[in-house]
Amino acid sequence: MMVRLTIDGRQIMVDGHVNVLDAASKLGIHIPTFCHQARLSDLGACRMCLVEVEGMGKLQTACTLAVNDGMVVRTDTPRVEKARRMMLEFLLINHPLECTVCDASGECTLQDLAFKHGSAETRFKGKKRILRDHIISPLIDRNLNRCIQCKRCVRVCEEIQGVTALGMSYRGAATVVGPFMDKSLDCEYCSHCIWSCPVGAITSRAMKHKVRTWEMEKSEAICPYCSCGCTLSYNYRDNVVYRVTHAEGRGLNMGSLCSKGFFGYDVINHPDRITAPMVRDADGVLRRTTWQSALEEVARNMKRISRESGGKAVGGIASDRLTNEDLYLFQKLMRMVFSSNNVDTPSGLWSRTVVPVLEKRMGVRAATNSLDDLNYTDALLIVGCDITVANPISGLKVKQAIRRGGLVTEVNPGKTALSRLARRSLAVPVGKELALVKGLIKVILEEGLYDSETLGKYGKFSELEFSVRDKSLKEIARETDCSVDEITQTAREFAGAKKASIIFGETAVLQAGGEKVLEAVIDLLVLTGKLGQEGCGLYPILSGTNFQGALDMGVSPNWLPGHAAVSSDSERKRVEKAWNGKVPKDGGKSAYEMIQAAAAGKLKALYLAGVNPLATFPGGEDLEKALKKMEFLVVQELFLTDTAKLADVVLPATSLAEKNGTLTNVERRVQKTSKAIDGLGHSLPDWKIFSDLGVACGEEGMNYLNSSEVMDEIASVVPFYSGINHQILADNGLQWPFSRDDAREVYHEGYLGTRHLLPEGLSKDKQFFAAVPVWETHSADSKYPMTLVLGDLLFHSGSFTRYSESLNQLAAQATLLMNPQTGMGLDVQDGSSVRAVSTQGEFTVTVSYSEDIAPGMLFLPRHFKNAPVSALMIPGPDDQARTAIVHVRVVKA
Amino acid sequence: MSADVTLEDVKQDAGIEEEEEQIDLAPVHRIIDSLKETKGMLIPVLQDVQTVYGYVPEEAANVVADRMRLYRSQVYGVLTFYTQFHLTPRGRHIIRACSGTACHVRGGKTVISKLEHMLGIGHGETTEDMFASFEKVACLGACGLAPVIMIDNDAHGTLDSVKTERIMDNLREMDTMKRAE
Repeated sequence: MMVRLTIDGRQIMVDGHVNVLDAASKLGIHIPTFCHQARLSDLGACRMCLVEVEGMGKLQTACTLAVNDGMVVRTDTPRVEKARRMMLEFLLINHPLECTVCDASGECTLQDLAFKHGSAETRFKGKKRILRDHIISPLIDRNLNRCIQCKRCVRVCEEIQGVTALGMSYRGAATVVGPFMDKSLDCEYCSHCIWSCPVGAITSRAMKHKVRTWEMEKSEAICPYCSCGCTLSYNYRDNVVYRVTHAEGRGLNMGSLCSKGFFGYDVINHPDRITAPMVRDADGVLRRTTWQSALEEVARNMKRISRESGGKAVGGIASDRLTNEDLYLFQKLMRMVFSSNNVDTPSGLWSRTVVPVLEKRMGVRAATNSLDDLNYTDALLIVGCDITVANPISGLKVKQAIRRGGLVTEVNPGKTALSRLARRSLAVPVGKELALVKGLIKVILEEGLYDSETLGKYGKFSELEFSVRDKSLKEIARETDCSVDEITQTAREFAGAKKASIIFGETAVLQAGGEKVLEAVIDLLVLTGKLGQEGCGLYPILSGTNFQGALDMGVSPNWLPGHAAVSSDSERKRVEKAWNGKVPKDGGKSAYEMIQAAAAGKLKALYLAGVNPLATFPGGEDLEKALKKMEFLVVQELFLTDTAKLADVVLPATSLAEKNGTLTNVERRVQKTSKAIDGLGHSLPDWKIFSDLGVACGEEGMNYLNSSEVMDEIASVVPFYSGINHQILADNGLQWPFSRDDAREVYHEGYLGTRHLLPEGLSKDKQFFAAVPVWETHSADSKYPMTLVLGDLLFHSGSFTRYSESLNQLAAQATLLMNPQTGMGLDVQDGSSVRAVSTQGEFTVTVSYSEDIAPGMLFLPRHFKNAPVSALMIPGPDDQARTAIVHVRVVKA
Repeated sequence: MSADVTLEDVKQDAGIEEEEEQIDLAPVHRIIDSLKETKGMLIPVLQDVQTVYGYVPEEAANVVADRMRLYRSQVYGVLTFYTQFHLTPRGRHIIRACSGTACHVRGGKTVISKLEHMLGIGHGETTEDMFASFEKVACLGACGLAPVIMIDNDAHGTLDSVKTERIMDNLREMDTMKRAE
């Protein structure tokens, strides 16, 4: 219902649900406030937004006052002004006037309002309340004397992050904000409290007393740390990024960030960054040199090896953290200039394991729906994924759904941050996820909960029924460590919900046979008709920032840009025509196969862009031997990693804060990220290095002026990017497919590309039900009875964040997480050392007891130097992609 | 670039000691087990916990929060909001002295300073030997007896410095005797 009201003599029509504060801001009338913040519940605590309303005797708080038809509001009377001055005078009784040393100075609401309305003089005589304040965390500083008790931090911690680490304690004039028992903060370090504090009571230690807020410039960019694709704001001065701030209301994250996005910026200006190209000299020492001589060295050797031994002797692996422009030019360079289809991302997981199943079953090569759908989902099934770690901001959307009453069921070998919020958290052992999903299908079939339209559309379920017949629900429950009731309820909730989706994650897919789980998950979606509409779909979520973009750009041995098969003559011809060059005909090698070929002496030259195999690939010492054997190794990096130390040429690349480009997130959203600072030293953006190298090889077709020009070429080669250019992406990006025809319509309000795939459901030529016959993907062998899950931590993703000193404060070392029950069975104490042994290798690591991990399971964060997981991981032709689950034996060290 | 503080420093600064006396938490579980529905029952549960231990130990508060599906910070907020809850062990005797208007004008101040002097502690504190906890309260509802104090459940009125000393000496003697038994 719309209502008409008058504010300061001006009339406005607004929705009846808004409050006077928001109605006024629509008119451009700014009512001062401390405790109000968009997305938070309204409290009316600070009394700063008092306004005069005709017919109401007392002044009213605009933030809690609902609009009424015919309401007459005044915000500019002497009475209101007097009330504001008095509120400020009250606040300044205790608030210390230490703006000279306060990090919030310059962006402090109290400072601004006191400047505007009042004076620093007070009529109150007496001592200021001075509280001794201790440090509550290594990264977050609290100053209780500055606190004005607006409760924004407490509300944001509860309402947005769902952690509630901060609370209000004591009362009246003694009220303080703090963690439980006023001890150290035990939280996710999401930084929302820093963001929400209107004064300097909660600040970041990472930038304490380093820079003044008004000295910095701000620049919006996309966060480099996961596939969610959040918008953040780099704050910099003199080419140094001093902090990241939340871009309020911007991006799919609405400004929200996680610990990595907020605190992980210190890798950018890290003192160990490589700032000049290096070439190994005759004495075998890496020496700094000019770009010209470094590129000539690379061009000469790569061309020579490609010419002498053929394109198959040359290979390249590029990180899926690079931008689309970087990745596109990388594969173009490898294919056209060095005549090799040996291009891949480190895991190749997406293009080789997940996408073929999505393609076969649904004809899509990406997540079907938008992340925003998660906010409104009625039932959500999360299989093999800790969404709060893999994609923290998507996790926030799930938390919002739970607050709205959405029924979330988690299927994960351990507890997650969602567990206490979710409807239920099923600790299903790794390898048994398949049985659980099939159990859900069984219940739906037996109780007739399937979608009747599905029955009409896709025919009979006989095969599916047959596949779930040989086990009773009781047996399934026993195998999956769940109860029959839990399985039945989950199935009923999922089938009965209007909007139901499935998130499918790395723990499920990174095990041998993981695609079978995916097949069963798709069966479940088809059976219940939860596909092709808003709120119903599948989200396979991997952690690599631009894993979707890497596939779209053709960084894959078998796919050209635009998901065109290398084996297809017509597709190859099309790309060749666009490039005015040649594309080799034979499919290439995967990342693992390249390493294997290197060990066998068949691959002679390798180009690594942002990849550190020694930290992330399986193979341990064999891997190092293979890399050392390489005739010519190029490493393009930010840091002199262990792998870079072996290289013949090291090329300094820039971080995401130092370049323009685009990234494609987990929901197919192509977003523009902008450069904040200039490349450190002589470092260059990756696309520029590939371009210059192409030109150094004598290929004029590799000459580009800027990354925008590269995107224009991508749009001409990749059909579903054909309407995309850097200008059109300026605001929040858009979701592919987005063709030229779409681009003509882009000026329509709210047109953001394709929000949902499969609007017509599955096409007739697809296999509707895979009816997976088996019940488990794999089981432990008696010699290696423990299942070790290798994964990410909330505070780290990949080996890159290891360079962040701030994030290392939160987690610097890997410890082996083990259920106390498991520990007692093995006679291993909390904090003691153990040897973890796999068929492949072993290392020693410290044990940490945790109730969060299921008995019999182990968890180890990957990418820490003190636990070189590479030694444990089992290499094999297909196992390269299956490096998250390792069977081990644990013995006392 | 880095913050120069580690988590260990934080813990030390907050006075968190790694080794603490083990507390038997079974009574807490029993209190919660006895409830049909935990919703809205936080304050009665905390009161029962305090009756068992004499105060609300941190570990007990943790159990209460986890089992009642509340956040620890919320429980802490309630514990600190109400003066009836205590987070540290309390003395064997609770001495409350009135500092209200009636007691004040009839010499309550001297009674309070006598008590503070004899016990060697101030408001909200407990003697080292756990003999007594002392607190000043706003009114005990016995203004006719002003100045008045309460020792455990007994009121003592029309006090002065001498009477206070005698009462306290008695209390100490009783306590010693009882302890000796």
